[in-house]
Amino acid sequence: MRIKPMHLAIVAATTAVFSASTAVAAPASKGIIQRVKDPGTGLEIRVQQDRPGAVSIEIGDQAVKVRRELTTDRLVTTVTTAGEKVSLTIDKSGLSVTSPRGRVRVTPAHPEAGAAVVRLLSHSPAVRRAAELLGRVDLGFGSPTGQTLLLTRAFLLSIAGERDEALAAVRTARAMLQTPHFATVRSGPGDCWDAYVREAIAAYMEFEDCMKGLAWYDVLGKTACATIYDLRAMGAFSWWVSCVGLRGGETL
Amino acid sequence: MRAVAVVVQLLISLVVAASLMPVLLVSLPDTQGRAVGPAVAIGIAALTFAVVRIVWPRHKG
Repeated sequence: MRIKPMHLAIVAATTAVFSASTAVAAPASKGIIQRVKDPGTGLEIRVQQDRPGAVSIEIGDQAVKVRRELTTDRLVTTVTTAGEKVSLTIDKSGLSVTSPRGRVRVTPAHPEAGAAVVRLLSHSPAVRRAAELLGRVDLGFGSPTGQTLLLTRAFLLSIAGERDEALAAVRTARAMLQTPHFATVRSGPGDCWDAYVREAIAAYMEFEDCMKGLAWYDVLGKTACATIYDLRAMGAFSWWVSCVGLRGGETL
Repeated sequence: MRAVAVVVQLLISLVVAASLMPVLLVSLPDTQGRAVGPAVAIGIAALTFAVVRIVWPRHKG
């Protein structure tokens, strides 16, 4: 399979962007940690933590659902339609592809199996629908979630043998990351709330980290942690009240 | 004097809401939404204000 170096590049880039995406809004709790409504498709994209150490990103409509899960040792991409489920798992030993038509494993020792992967997925309606759906996603250049989905599309296209389209998607992603953009952004009450949520969650995370290292009898330390948390939480809350009530509509 | 008490009660309710909100945002991710979160924050502040008003000591005569 000639596109193997490109696979590696796409996977590495996806992992990096995915990590950044989850680090932006990543409280330590389980469940949904980010919800984004995509203007391109009108669909909701969800970033969630189903269990400790596993973060997934999911988008889907009535025809197809695409899910990408990142754990400490593997990246699993799952494409599901009514009649087909394709699963692509990348771990340190290689790439495994499972579809209703069969199962193929590509390892560094047997790279020639890549051709079988292309044969398996090149006529897959599920992969084609997923690539088409991801191609309509329009979260903009500043969104790590959008970058993740764009690279997911490039990965699916490359693995289905659509080399030119995959390269085009990778070039788009690279251009988005490298080109500086200047834009005037009008902020509204919702933007104030989003900024407040980020700060409030960061304050609570800092409080948890602060308390973790303290012994049970360290009352002064705990008081200091609580005081810092309270000041930060009150600062964030009063900023939100001020943002909504006093200077709404200002340019960020 | 009464106006000062109301301002203090209002401040207390805002401080309580401010301290509780980060915990809620982390433990109940649904409150992070633009539709739910602000309503919860204002609800907590309003509820606390009502409770503080009720338990606030009053001087008779």
